Amino acid sequence: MADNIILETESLSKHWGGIKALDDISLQFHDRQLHGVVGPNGAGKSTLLNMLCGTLKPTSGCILHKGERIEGIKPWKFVRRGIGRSFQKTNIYIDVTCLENCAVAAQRRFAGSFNLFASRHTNKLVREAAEKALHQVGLADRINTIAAEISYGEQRQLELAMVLATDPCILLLDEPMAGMGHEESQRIIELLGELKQTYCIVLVEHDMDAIFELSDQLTVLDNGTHLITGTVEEVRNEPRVKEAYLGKDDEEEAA
Amino acid sequence: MIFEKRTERIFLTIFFLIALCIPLFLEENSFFVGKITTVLILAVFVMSLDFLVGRVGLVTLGHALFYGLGGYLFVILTPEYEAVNFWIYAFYVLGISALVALIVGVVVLRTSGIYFIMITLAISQMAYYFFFDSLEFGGNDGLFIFMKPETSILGVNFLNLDNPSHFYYLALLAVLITLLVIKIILRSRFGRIVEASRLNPERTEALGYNIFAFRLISYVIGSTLAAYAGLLFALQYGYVNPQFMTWEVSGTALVMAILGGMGTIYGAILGTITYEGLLYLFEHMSEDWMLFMGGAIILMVLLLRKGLAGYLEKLLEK
Amino acid sequence: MSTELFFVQLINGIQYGLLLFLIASGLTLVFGVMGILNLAHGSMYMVGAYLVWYFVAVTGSFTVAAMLSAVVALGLGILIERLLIQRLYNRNHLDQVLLTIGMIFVFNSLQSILWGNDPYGVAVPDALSGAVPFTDNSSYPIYRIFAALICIAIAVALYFVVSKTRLGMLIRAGESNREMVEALGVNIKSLYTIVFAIGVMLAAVSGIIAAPMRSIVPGMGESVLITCFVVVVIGGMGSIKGAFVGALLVGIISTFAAVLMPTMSNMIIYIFMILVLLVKPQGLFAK
Repeated sequence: MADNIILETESLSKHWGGIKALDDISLQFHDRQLHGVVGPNGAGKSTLLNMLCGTLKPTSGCILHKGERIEGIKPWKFVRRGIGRSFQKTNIYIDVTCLENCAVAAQRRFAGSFNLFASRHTNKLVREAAEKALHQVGLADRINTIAAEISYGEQRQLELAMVLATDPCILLLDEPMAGMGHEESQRIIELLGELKQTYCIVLVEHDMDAIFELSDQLTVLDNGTHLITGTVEEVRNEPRVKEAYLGKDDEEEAA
Repeated sequence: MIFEKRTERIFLTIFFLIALCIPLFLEENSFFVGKITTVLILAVFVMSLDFLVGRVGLVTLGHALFYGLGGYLFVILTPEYEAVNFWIYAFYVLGISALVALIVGVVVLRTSGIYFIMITLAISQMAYYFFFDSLEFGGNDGLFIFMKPETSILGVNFLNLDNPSHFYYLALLAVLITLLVIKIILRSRFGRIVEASRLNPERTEALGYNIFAFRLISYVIGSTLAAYAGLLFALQYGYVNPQFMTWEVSGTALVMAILGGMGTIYGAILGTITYEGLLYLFEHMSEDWMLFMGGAIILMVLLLRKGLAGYLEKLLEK
Repeated sequence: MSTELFFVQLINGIQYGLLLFLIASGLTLVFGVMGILNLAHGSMYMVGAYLVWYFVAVTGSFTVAAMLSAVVALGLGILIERLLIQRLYNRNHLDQVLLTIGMIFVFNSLQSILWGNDPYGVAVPDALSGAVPFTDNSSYPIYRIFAALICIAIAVALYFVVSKTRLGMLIRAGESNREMVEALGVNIKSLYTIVFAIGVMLAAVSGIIAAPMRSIVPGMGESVLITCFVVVVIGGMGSIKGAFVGALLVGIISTFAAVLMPTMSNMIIYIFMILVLLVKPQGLFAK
């Protein structure tokens, strides 16, 4: 079960002027495991994800992918290494079909993106990869529907499908279930359960049911600092975690 | 298919049918044939701009730089009193224009949005002043083309470019080539990513694409097509001068593209014809044609939200 | 270059820069608050110059003419905003470009119809004519000093309004957060009308001030517009402080360039702008 560490951070920090968004974060993410990341608002979860996918450069510290330092390289090079990321705010190509959305994602795998003549529609491999991704997330019946016309929950699924279409090895998921109803969330939880057998998944979520059910490892961040990492059991029983989440309310009550 | 919209197919069919016949009907009236030839050449220029602005998402106000460059390069490269081979020299002109576009592109594509608009404008203004102040290149008077090139391929002579009807067909061919090149590229795998970069650059980068490379290649293609148009214009009238490169030329082309329907490509043809048509009409109606032109433009912006093509599509697409 | 010449050119450059600032501030204000790129901004400068010429011819007094022109320009600004600009708020930048280009056409032809295409001039008002001697053989025109002072006064007033008054606060808030301003119970439509009118006034007043210093000719609006764009881009779109610094830089650089390298003087400010953008792609004081 202790698969190799595929992604890790060492003393990762991000400062903006006087504000420390993240301070000295050292984490290890294992292959074929789902690693949950939680924390109250402002804990730095999104900042962490942004750095793990290369959108933000760290102020100090490093990020290692399979032992190699990758912090500071261009974002598209992160993607090429197989680090895929889904966004918290749905960020799809709203005016084209679901298939086309995934096709854009998949095309990079098969080269030919600099082919100025061959029609995009005749690219069988791309089409198959796109359809496969859509099937995986349960959007098979939406393949030819314009993304603007599907429901919000389905758009979140599409977001996920697009990441899968890039055939990543690491999935960085930023609140994939935000705004979803119970049924839809269940479907995603099932899907993630399947996916973690193949990919390394870093999951940032507020949906605690999902986190507890899926996480092989769980990290809690608070105010940019690393509170604890451990199994779900260990984290749930840690008093500092309860404080981080509830402590502020208690203080207000006491006052 | 590369022409997916019904409106597009209908318009282009009608356009090319009429365009093919015009010199036959207007054989005696070479003035009109010449005027329409110029409209065709402008349509090439505007289509290339529509490609860049409407499909790649690069709003450039410096497109006229390449328009002028096409003309200047031809005069500079060709001996003065010799009728060179059109195809060979067009190849040289376009090749060098592409190189220039590559260099310019590498510089300007580091910016985006309003800064991109401004830096492209600045570069074309610089080129304007360069040629304006230069004595070697004729200054404000520009340079002249004394002999039209000949158009033989492997010894077979096609067209006599001194004949307005023949030149007309060369221009029409240019419209066809430009249209096909742009449409094929847009439908291609490359075009898919270019489109994606325009629709959602952040997302496209997050998917691992180096948007800079896609934009650069598109910029080179669009600018080279503009040079093609400039070359033809210079050949038609026998001269090139700095006025080819002013921001007014870029701005007017933008007006034609938006009027026609940004991003539709066929709309660029429609917009050019409409603008030039209105201009001709107003100029003959009144000395104050600019007033009517301005008014017409304002009305069209307010009433035809998606340009003329958009309006036609509303009528014809189900 | 002698010290004397250097100082004269420096002051010329500053004075030109101040005038540019006046025009550019209007452009950047409107863009920063309303998101509207008004290509017809140069036309407002032209309108100011032509109006003051007209009113001087009618009334004989520069002061009266200046005030009348300013009032007419204000009215024009409000009219344009209400009739046309308002319809652009939900449209994209390209539609704005197109509409304002249409406006340029209309203004240019109105200028031609109303006042003709001959170059005009406005005499420097008597009270401000003459020159101040500062060395044995050179002196500096009083009117230019006056123009510079007026520009500084307006700049200070602008700074005061934007940073210290409620209107200024709304302007600054409106730049980043339209919804918040509306939530404050402010009628954003009125705010936009006021801001646009201020922008127009700034351009027109600079046209009024500039009128006695240069010929009033067709096309003067477009040439100042381009320079204005360069200023605003160098300074950073939407930043008035940036417009100030950018305007002074452009004013000084182009004045010296005209003297030191006349063949390249036209190109110089564009080269400068490109250099700035290569280092700071969003301008010096970008938001």
